Amino acid sequence: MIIELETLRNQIQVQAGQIEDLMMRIENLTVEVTSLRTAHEELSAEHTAVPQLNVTVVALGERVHAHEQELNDIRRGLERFGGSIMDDMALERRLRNIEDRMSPSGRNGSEREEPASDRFET
Amino acid sequence: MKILVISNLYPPEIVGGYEIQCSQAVAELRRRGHDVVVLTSIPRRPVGQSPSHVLRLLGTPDVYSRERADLKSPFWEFEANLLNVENVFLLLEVLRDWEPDVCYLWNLVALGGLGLIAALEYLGVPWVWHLGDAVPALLCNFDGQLPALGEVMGSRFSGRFIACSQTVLASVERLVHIEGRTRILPNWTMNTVPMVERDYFGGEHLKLAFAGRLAEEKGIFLVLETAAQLLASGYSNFSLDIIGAGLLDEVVARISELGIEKHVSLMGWHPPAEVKRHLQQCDVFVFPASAEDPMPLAALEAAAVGCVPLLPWLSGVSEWLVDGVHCLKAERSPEGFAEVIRAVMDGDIDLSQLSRHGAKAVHESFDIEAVMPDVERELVVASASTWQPNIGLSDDFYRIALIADALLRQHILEGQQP
Repeated sequence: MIIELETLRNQIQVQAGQIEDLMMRIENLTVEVTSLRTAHEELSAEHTAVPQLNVTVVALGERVHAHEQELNDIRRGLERFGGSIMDDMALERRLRNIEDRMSPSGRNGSEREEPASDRFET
Repeated sequence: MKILVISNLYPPEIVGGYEIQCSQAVAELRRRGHDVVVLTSIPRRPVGQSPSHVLRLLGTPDVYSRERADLKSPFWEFEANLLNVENVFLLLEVLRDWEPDVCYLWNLVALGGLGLIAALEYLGVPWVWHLGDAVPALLCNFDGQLPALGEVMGSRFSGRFIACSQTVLASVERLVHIEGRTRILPNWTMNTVPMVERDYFGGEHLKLAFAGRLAEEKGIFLVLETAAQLLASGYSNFSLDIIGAGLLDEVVARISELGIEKHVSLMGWHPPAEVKRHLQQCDVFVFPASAEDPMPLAALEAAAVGCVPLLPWLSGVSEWLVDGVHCLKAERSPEGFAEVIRAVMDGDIDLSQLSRHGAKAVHESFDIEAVMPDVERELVVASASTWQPNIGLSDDFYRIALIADALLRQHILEGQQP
């Protein structure tokens, strides 16, 4: 049980780092989408006056759409990823609770060891 | 122990679960033999005779009134979050007269919460702050966030914190650094049993339920759109009971727009005990709370009676219940939630096992009797730091509060941030 908890903790740490990476990717993509959208809007305004820009405008629009799709997929993936971390957290807490209940001293009034994430630190 | 509880609201004056949890904690601590006094706000309506241990003395602007929120003045926000000198005076009087061993803080919004904390710090009164919401961060607001104030709070305040979830702790940490002094303990429910006698969905008619405030952040409109998605995909053998009050007109309009009237019952607000009885007859508790929701009680109470919660992947309560063991989880969207419900209706998910595991987990880990020993321990540890009433110090602090009040009001009049 203790080994399993340690494994879970390590998984949580690794996944937290991966979440950070994904969040940075989201930020970068958001900036790129915003600038592409601006360019697209500006070109669309010129579109009616300058017909030869039509192809560029359409291509830009497709790029914006593709980036938005990717952004949504990443957000969804990040949410799912965060959800698995939440599950790990819930599982760890539940396992700890079961351990406490099974320990000889029981739970109420016992001085149990707290894991780092929930430990009070002075 | 002598415990002074401070809460902006106290039953029967409630907005949500935070005040209910406070009153349950008070009752349980009294049951365990502690001497508890509650200092709370003057009610907005008659509440009958309050018990002798509940002092309804503190003044508040009506922060929960939608009309007042539209008309608020800068002084109103100042008094709500930063400093209310009358409340500081009242607190100093209660501390001097009653001499608690520890202060147990709850929701301090609308009380001039930072001024109250500062008073406790100045006098050296030990305190534990129970966070059912990101209150320390909420208080660092005046015409926008005040990060400098949050830094001071994080570095100077000496008390301890109990947070109901990592989610709420993260919300606080954005402005006020408290992680090293925080114990994470779940919200609780009461009167749970390890095994619930009930019927389970057998494939004929799925009973869905939502209970809570009818508000955007609680996901009520997402619930309605989920029902519409189910119908659109050819699944009609379900009903959805909606229990609660709030944006009722908007909900009624949306039900009509989506054409789901035949499948939805609006049941209005009911007392918690009745809600639990009703949920025991339902199969799935659909609760797409927002990712920032600290830890809604409704999902726990549903699980306690074997009504399987369907939760978003990310929310305060999602970090306490395991997907596929105690509950179901999905992407927070109508498509995501509908996909899981379709799997239930297709027989791909066994609700009975989830129901039994969920009820057992709530009984063992989230009943108040399971959580309160840890709360009590925090209060005992905090109270080890003793303090002595000192009239001189009290008068000094009140003087400081009056000066600060005058200076800050002048700043506000001149259009500056405090």
